[in-house]
Amino acid sequence: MKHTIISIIFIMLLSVCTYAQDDYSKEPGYFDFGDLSVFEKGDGVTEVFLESNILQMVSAVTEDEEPELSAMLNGLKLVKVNVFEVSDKNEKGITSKIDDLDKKLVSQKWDRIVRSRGGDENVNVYIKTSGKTDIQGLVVTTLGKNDEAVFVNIVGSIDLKKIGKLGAKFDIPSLDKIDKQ
Amino acid sequence: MLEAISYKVLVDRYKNKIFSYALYMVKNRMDAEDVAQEVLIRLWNNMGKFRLPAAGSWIMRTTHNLCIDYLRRNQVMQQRSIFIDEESEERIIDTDKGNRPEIKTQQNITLDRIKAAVQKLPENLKSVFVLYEIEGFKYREISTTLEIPINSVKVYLLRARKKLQEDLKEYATQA
Amino acid sequence: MQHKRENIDERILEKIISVAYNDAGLLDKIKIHLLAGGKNPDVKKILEEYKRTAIKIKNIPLDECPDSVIESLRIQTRNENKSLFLKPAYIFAIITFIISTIIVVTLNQNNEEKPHYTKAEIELAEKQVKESLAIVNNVFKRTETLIQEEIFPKRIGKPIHKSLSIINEVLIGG
Repeated sequence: MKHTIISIIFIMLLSVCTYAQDDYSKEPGYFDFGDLSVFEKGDGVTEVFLESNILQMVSAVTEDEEPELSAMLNGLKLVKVNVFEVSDKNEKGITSKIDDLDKKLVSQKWDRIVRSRGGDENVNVYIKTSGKTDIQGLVVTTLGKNDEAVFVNIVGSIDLKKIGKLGAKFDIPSLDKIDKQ
Repeated sequence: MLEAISYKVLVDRYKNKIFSYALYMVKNRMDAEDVAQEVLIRLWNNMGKFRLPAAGSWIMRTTHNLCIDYLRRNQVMQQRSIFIDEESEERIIDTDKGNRPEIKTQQNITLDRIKAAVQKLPENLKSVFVLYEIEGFKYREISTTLEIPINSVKVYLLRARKKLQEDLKEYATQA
Repeated sequence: MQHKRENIDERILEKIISVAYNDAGLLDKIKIHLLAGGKNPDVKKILEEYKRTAIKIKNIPLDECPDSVIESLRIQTRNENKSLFLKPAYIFAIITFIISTIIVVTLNQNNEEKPHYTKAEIELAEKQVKESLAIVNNVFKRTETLIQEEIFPKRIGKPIHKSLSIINEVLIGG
């Protein structure tokens, strides 16, 4: 009887895992920002949405020249970035959205590791962990007054140190906007 | 089912008292939220292990003990806050920098200033003061919560009131 | 407190404070009010000072517990009804269902088309990934400065909260 039950549980888990392989929305590190289209007015709108398939492609292509980037991308399931230009018209709406997202993230058991308010910029950083040290998701929301609002969600097996290191490597000061796909 | 209903009633009745008390004791919202959450989890896990009329004392004793644990563990880090809320820090620290139009006399001491003065009280006086004056518990309940004699409750309360008055008087004369 | 306390002994002061905070007995209330009204003007002054503070104290509202604390509670109820699902007929039905699911899923997967990307699309994606990482790094850099200057003047010996240990390790390198 015991073996039967264990076999059933194992088979159920296997079938669930197999079926859900490409569905990133079920990943613990995924976060739905909801409808951001209301802020998509004006020229300063950019969006990045890279799913597992394309990330694997980039990982394969960069394996020789950028092995660290390649290794990091191999563990990711989704990279999602939205950038909006902030003006007097939409600043309140974006601030309110960020506050709502904050409450939602905390209620979904995301760890808020940084929250900075005041001066010219509001910054929030959240992580979703599995176990003691495994980070499965990263969310960043920033609002610079009369500048830009940024919403980032990275899903997958994340090493914050590596993200920081690689990000510093690719941080080109002259870069203004991300090309729209 | 009955337990779930009782739990809900207790949560509704005590959640703000738990959070307020924790906030006064640990002095930052993040830890206060952690304490409040832990108390409510423990409350659920212990439903049925205490008589409902004694629930208030049990809840506040658990809250108090968790706060003490936090304070002991975080002694070095009491001043830190991951929440760099510059505006709120200015609100608490900056009330005497002429940002408000009121005349600075004893009669116009702001609520924030009083709360800051309460926060500055020594732990043993603060816990009695907050439970009695702000949360409305009686001497006997406080005695059970903090596991101290009723006479000690009265003495601590008196000392807290005096210390508070001195602190606020000093603030008013400096302003 | 620089009142003229010479005329007021400690016992009287205690009674004044109790009256001001409205938890004195009736006799004490009468005694203090008589003193305040007539013979001792210092009593009146001290009483009024304490009363003003007491009124403000009584008006301090409770801080509201954030909804997020309540929403994050997970109440686990125990379901002690085990017996039903151990009957052989149910086990057979469950196994059949599971095997059918596996067959359907496997067939479905084999029929899925893998997406094809052009070289240009892959190059664009590579650029976007790098730019996304740069954005995140920018945030970390700004935050690191804030944390180092405002919060952590010294390295933490043994962080307790999980977030602190991550910040300490990643952003400051402690």
